Amino acid sequence: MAAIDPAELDALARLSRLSLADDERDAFARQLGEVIAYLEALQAIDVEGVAPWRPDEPAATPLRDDVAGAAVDRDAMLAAVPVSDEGLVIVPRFVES
Amino acid sequence: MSAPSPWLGVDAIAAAIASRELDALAVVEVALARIAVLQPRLHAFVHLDAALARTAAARVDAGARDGALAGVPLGLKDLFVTADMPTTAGSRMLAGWQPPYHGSHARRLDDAGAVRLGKLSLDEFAMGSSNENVPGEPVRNPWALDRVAGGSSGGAAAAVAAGMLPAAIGSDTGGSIRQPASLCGVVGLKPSWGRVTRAGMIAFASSLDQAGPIARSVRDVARVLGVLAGADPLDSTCATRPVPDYVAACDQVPAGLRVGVHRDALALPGLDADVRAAFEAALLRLRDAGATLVDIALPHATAAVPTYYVLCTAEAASNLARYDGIRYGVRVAADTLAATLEASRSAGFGAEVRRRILLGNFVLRKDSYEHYYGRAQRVRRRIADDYRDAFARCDVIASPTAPQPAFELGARVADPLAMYLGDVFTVGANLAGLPAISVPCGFTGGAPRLPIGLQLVGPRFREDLVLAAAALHERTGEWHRERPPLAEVGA
Repeated sequence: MAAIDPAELDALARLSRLSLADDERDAFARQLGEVIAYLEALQAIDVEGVAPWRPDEPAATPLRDDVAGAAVDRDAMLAAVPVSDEGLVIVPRFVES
Repeated sequence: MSAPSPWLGVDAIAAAIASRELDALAVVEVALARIAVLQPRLHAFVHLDAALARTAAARVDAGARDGALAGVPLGLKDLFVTADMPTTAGSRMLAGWQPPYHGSHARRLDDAGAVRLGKLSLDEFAMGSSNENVPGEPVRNPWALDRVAGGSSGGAAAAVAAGMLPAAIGSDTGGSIRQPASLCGVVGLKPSWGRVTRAGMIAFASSLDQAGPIARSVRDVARVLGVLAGADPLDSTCATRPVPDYVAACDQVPAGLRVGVHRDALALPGLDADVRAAFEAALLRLRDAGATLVDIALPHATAAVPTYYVLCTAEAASNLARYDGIRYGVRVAADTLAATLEASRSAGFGAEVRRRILLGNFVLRKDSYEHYYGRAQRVRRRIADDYRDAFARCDVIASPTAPQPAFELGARVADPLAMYLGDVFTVGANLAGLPAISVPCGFTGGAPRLPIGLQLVGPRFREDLVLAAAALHERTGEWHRERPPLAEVGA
């Protein structure tokens, strides 16, 4: 079965916010190509007039009373943040020059 | 009091704690001693906290002792969020993450008096069938140390099979409770989608994920399910319907129980001969025990695995977009936000997780969305309708759990498609949201002697029927009492 095209793999990696090491690109292209070829089996199923699946239950989104409840502690949350300062999450530069 | 056996089950321990025949502290010491001997060989745990467990046990001994799981040593697959233990999802991405909150599963276990000992190994983000997609050592099968324990709840199944714990909590998106239970010779139940909360369970594929118990008997699984099940205000997809007495259900086999069999599925080329023979023998025993065997059809069964891999990868690509290296988890510093995201995610995620994210974005892309994702959602409806039609003719549907017994470590690492095809019997229940159990039903004939599992699937929210049928089968044999040959590793 055909491996996916290297340019296709790069496009998917960009969409996925992933970079691939040189030594795994060939294996990934081959493995993904095999799986994608296998997924073609779905085209043989007649789905004419069939609605997409959706869960049957619960039938509606439950609502709670509009009353303030307990929230996660801010300092405990910040303790897991890789880089923070004075209660703020530090983010890398996001405006590209 | 003499030291209790490590093979005491959930039901027996809770009863002995309640009647003061045993103290929780004595029970937890036995578990800790056995874990100390076996962990270096099996690698079932990724985190163990003996001090926390002893504190919890002492609290049970000093308290009312009447919780449904009072004094029962338990472990959670490390996909469940715990405020008092690190939670990693088996990923470098979350190495050392200490959650700022306690998930609903851990909370319910604590409220029932359970003694949590630690966190159990899993394939990274629950993606895998062999517990080899791990940052550290893969879990070993207690029946043969060169074989996989199955996955993704491999640590949970191995720990229960080896007598380290009487029960553990796993999660099942496409078979991740049932397949390792089958490969390790224990009982594993995936509840109906919505029966058990998902709040505090790290998401893989939200429309398929369910938490459930692994234990050594049907009754023990039923008891733990009773604690986990029921409405949760923190999960709006969790069903609000009442929770029946699942332990009582084990003794309430409907007269003339109808067991459906999809014969065409047994023509699968990769079905192991010993697995097939054990399955056929299980059917005959069920018949001899009073069940009626009914031939049923699941016309779209062969589409289940491709449907599953379109949908689970699409949902995974979306769910795992949250790992950005900013708010928690690994951050690899780079000049810009985009470069930081890419560097952090590439360093944090292992190969299988990255493959599934790539595949998920492939099927979700605008120009392929209808061809793959849209179509798979329609095929999913077909598959769910097939089950609905089949349950008009039977109460439960029987099949093997896995087409092969435990395979050798490393055998399928380079061939993801071969690994995926092992999910052929289990993914249907996830796609249709159905309860399904795996129970031990025999062993392979050659060496090593490996366990084989029988799967029973029931209609939506009929865990009671699944448990009743599984208990009926359990009463026809002694497989669930067999113990793995761990003497050579000092146990």
